[in-house]
Amino acid sequence: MQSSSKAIIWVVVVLVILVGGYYLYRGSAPVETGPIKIGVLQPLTGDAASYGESEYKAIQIAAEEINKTGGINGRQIELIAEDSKCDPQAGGTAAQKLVNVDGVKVIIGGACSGETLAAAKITEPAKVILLSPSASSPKVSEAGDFVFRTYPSDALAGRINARYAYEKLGARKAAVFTELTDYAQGLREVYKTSFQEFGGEIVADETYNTGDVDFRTQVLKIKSKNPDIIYVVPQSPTPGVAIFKQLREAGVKAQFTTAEVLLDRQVVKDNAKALEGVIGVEVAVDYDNNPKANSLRTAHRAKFNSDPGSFAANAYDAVYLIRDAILEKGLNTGKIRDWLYGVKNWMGSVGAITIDKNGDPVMGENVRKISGGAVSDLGSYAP
Amino acid sequence: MGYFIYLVTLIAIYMMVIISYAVPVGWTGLLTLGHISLLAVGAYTAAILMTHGVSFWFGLLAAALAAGGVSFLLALTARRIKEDYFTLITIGFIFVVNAIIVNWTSVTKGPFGITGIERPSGFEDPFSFMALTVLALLITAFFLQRVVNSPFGRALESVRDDDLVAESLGKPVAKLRIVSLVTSGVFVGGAGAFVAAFLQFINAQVFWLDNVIFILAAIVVGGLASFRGAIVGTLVLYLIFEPLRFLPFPPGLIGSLRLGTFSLLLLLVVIFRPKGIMGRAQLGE
Amino acid sequence: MPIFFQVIANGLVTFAIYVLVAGGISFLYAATRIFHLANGVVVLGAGYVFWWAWVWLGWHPAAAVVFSLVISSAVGLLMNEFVYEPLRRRGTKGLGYLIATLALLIFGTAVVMALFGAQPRTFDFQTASLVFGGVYMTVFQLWALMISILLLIVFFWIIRFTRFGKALRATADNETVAEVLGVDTKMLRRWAFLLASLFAAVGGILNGLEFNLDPNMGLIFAVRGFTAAVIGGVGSFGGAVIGSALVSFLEQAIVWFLGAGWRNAIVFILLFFFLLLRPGGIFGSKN
Repeated sequence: MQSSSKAIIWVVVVLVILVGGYYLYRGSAPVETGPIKIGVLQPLTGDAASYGESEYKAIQIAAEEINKTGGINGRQIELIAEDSKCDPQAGGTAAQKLVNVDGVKVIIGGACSGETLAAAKITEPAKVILLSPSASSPKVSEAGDFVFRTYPSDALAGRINARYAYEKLGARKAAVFTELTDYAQGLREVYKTSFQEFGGEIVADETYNTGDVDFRTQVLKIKSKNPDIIYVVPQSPTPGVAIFKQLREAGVKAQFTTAEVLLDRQVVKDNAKALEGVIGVEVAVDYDNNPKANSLRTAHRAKFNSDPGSFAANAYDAVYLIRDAILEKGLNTGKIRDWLYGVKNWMGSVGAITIDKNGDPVMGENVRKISGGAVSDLGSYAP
Repeated sequence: MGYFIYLVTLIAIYMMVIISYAVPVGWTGLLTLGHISLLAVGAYTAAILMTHGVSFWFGLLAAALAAGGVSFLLALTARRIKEDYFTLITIGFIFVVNAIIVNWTSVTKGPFGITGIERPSGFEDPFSFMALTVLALLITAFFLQRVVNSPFGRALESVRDDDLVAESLGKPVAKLRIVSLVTSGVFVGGAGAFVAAFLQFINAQVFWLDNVIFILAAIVVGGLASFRGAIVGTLVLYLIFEPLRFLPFPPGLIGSLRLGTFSLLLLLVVIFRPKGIMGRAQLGE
Repeated sequence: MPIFFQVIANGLVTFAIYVLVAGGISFLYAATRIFHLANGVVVLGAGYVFWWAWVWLGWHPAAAVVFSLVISSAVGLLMNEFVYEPLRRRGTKGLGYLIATLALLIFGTAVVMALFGAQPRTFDFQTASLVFGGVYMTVFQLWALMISILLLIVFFWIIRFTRFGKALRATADNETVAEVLGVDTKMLRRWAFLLASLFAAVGGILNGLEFNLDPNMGLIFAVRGFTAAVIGGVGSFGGAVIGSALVSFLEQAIVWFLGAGWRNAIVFILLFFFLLLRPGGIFGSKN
């Protein structure tokens, strides 16, 4: 064997020892005093990065606010963030590191359902609380005893949108255009079933791949069917904005509706023309009148020079829920879990939250309208 | 400790893929990039069967056979196509498999992925599952080692080094290529079953492009036509990968940092030390 | 019937962009025998640099365009000097280059992600829609198409009527003979990379304005580029044009009949059949 190869082997051996030693060292750090470590599991790169970052920013603001007023029982919050890339494998590895190396007792995340389900496999046996601000798959309800969310299951938003379209807007022919991801497909299925149940007809059902940019053919197909209303569900803002742009360019005349991703306040500001007149359904966060939401928005503008993004309110509330739990019950995750299941009408930036026996929240969802680069409220609507 | 076990299991699974991959690339000179899709075929086959009540062991067997079958089809194209073009086709193959996974919803559940995959009974806890995976790795390594050190293996190398000469010497070049690819496919498919049981939840995202270059880089950096090289290459890349997570960079930057580091490493190896750390051959020579 | 023409019109836009990338890959292969998939990085980078100069730094759009073109050409040339030429000096063949170009592609994408963030970005840019007998196209789409055609004409003229073009054709035919006849193949390669990178950069800027900027674009364009180039016949000008047209319109048709999910897959299956039955592509030789 050449001597250079031998040298390299030695380097590898030393690296293994160093890295292994580091893990063991980190694993034995004290937990009883010092800052409270809270894990953050979000897609910070990849296609879901827009809301991974959005949630992470809101989480940071919440943590800062709490720390400024003395932390939790005098201990500061320390956030440890890992990139889960909206991928079960990356999510699993990240969760592993947070649980076993950093020794966190609570993780706020994932953003995507896939990574949340994968992370749950690791947090459950370790009895670590996993609180997701945006995972929407129904499967998350059964993912575990210690798994919670501050985002209602898919069914709600799609159904509200469909009912509003049929009853309030008088639509009878709907076109659906969704991204091929679990979140968007979940909403698509609920919307279709609901709309048809109410008596409407689905005249077009188009999809697109994550990463596609050219939607003209689907736009053309939709246009040829003359729908009254179009329901667009993108996984991230960029394709959604592009779709509405291309719909307008093609001269499609129908009411545009969407899910909450496009109601990201900053996105609405930046794409006022493309999103003019679009109606969407999102959690009932009221940035003007709800003091917590208002505080989030002010701090967000000050720190990041932009408005809160998708699911920011849900993430912000998640941190505060945890704070309240720890304030009352300490750091025993079994007790935190029990406390969380008992949450009734807890006031967050999204309004009142009650948590049901599956760890899912019961919370209000409102219909919104985008106009003039801002989002206005059209009130709540029953599903 | 739990983290360490997790990492070891993950690395062991990838090592199975990489040493299987080393056979067509390092020994036969076929630069295929489609292995991540063969892994997907194996994982999905196993996952679909296991969520319908089939045991892990049978799922493992089915996964290996399915992936072997698919690589047979892929290999048929290698017969008549020039090497560069073959590689390009394997890239296309990744897209085709991805499209099938995402669109054949009735079977693969499309974007929703497959949940609730059980680990084999008796091996549910992390430590014993890790042990099982490492055992599988050792079996794979042992078997492949015998293969490449046999006359068959030497025939493969002659095909890699100069297929025209090999042909003129009477070696059935096409057949050798096919067998090499299929053998590799079988083991990669098996690794896929382990991926399914390990993550217990799979979707199309797991088998996408990020990992393709990683697998290639591990082989090239470690050195072609050498199992020890493949193993060293994998370890080097992983040990550069994981600790990056601990560095004080903003978490969002780490993703591109990793991609950048190992693609740069691959580039440097190709330019300055094409035999890698301890390879016995180089591609494109 | 108007629907059919609209589909064609839709396809024209993507065709205009693909042909710039495919053309570059095609004629680079002719000149250097390298499948320069990393050309996708130039497409990606050009769009982002343009965005940076125009939106972030606030420069005048024309200055931003020039800046982007300069940086992109430089990147293309650097890739040649520091990666391909050293490999060539060592006598590398086929597969060695492929690994290098793939590594470059991934590395370039990582650099762009690190510098500009991993999220897609859009330009807040929209032009008016014009209607021609029931068919919609925006002003920008028409511009893009015209620019693309103009560049193709320029390119065709270069190939046919300049010394460089003759030298290129000679080298494509037989490099050794060309050198004997006095062609400085090294300089030729440099010029080829410059030209191909410029084209790709224009494609990247047009794509950014028409659609968006996404870090994964590099790989997508590399793949589309080589597919179009190979189907049409690498090394052939007409091949790049036909190949790009075929891929563009086929994609639109697939989305129409089967839905978006199968878009990339079907294009590859087409490539597959071409490589099996007619590896030379449409305009290539039967071999």
